[in-house]
Amino acid sequence: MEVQLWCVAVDGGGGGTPARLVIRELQGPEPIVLSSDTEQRATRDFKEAIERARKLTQNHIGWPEKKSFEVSIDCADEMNLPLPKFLYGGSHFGAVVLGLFQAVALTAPECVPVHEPDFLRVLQSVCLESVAITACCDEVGGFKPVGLLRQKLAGLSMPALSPRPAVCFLATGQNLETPEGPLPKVFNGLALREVSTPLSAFRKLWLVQTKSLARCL
Amino acid sequence: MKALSRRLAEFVNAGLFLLAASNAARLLLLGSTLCAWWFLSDYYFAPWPWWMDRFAFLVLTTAVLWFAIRLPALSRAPDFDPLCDSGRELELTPANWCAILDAIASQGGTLWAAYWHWYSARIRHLGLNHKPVCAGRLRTCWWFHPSAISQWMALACLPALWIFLVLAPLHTNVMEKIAAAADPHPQVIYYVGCSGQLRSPSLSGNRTSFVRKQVDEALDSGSSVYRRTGQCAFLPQGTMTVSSTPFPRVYRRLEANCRERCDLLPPNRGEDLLFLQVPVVAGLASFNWIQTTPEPSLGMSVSLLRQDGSTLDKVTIEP
Repeated sequence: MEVQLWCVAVDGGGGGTPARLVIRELQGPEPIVLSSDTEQRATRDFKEAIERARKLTQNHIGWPEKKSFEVSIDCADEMNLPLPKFLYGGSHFGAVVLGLFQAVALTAPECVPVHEPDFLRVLQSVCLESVAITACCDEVGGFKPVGLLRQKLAGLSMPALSPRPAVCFLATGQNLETPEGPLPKVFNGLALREVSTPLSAFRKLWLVQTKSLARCL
Repeated sequence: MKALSRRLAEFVNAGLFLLAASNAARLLLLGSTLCAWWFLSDYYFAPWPWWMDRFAFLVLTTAVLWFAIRLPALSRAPDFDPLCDSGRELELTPANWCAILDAIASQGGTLWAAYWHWYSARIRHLGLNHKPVCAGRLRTCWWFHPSAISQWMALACLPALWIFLVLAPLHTNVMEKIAAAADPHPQVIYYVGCSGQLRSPSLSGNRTSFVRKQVDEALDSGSSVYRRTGQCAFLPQGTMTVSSTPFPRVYRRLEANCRERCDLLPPNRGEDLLFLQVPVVAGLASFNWIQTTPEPSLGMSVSLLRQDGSTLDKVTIEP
């Protein structure tokens, strides 16, 4: 079992580097571990974001016993863009929490509360492959805006990137930190959508995915 | 080829649904098929190949399926596609597919919802613990499951209806009567034209040569006899062009009878005939003739016939 989605890392110069967040199922005593390469780059606030994501997952849908998940930030496949030396900040929280929600639903569906069978289907069926998210964790387990958004979106929407993410989720209230006004619907061909919680992100994706599938089923 | 097979599977599924799942849809489909067949067999929009008379209603039937089921799906396209081009490779368990299909059903009207719920029920019959199925195979993965037998049997009534309609006597007079009643003009032959080449001898020195001259004349119309006058009366062979009331645009025939004084040349260049029927399209029909006796009289009668063979108008051409 492997869950992948897009995230973006910011290097020391402030440039955004698109990357793949990969979550793999492992057998081990630790509930969550970082891959060796990611461990070397991870800063303290990055690790805190991972831990918050794990706790939020455990609180919302549960956590399987005797199962462990490995979190890894990898280069975007085709371009082989080098990752920054250090992974700063908590903006990976959004990607990690979405990935963990789906990883738990796929590997341990019995953890998902039985009174929400529909939500289990949503978690298992949504395709995260072409989804990007950059959002921090707020005090109540929702999403809050990130900094350097313009650089991050520029990284995710660079023309040479192939395949590219189809949508980037942002926290409600996020802006581009420019006087141009509210967040646009599309940034360089990348659709932008605001979400407040992981659940709302999954619901929104589910709705769009069903419309898309209606054309090809 | 793959796209074609996908479209075919779409139509088969839509047909299976309409005929197996919904009485209203079944009535709609069979009713529209019958109406299309009846309308096209009695009435034509334009001169078109003969096979359109017999098979065009099949096209209309499939159009009903398309507009009812597939077109709404295209019009509901999201403004971004999270599956990109990999939607057909998405692999899920039947239980998850059922949830997706039920969610799609909740996004539309009655017929749309009924179709997707029916689709979901077909997948559910596979067993919710069935191995994962990819989106590309979802349309057909249940076709050969025992639960699909009743669906196929329901679908069989459509080809049976098609075969019956294709083999059934094609024309009725219903449209003819309706349309003719609405038309104030009399349904008659109102013009007969004659054309051909006249060979007349001409003397040049000691030699006699023949000069060909094209003749195109309208025949004089009497009360019931059209008379060949002028140079047309001397033509040994030629073409008659008959004009009749062009509306209604129903299938009519022109029947020419030579009474052993001339031969009629069929359009397919077969043997010469004393009796010939040609189709009337937009009120016009023409046929070729050749005089076979030394007498200048043709003695030809021309009748305008309905689809059932009854006569609308009859004229005689003399001499």
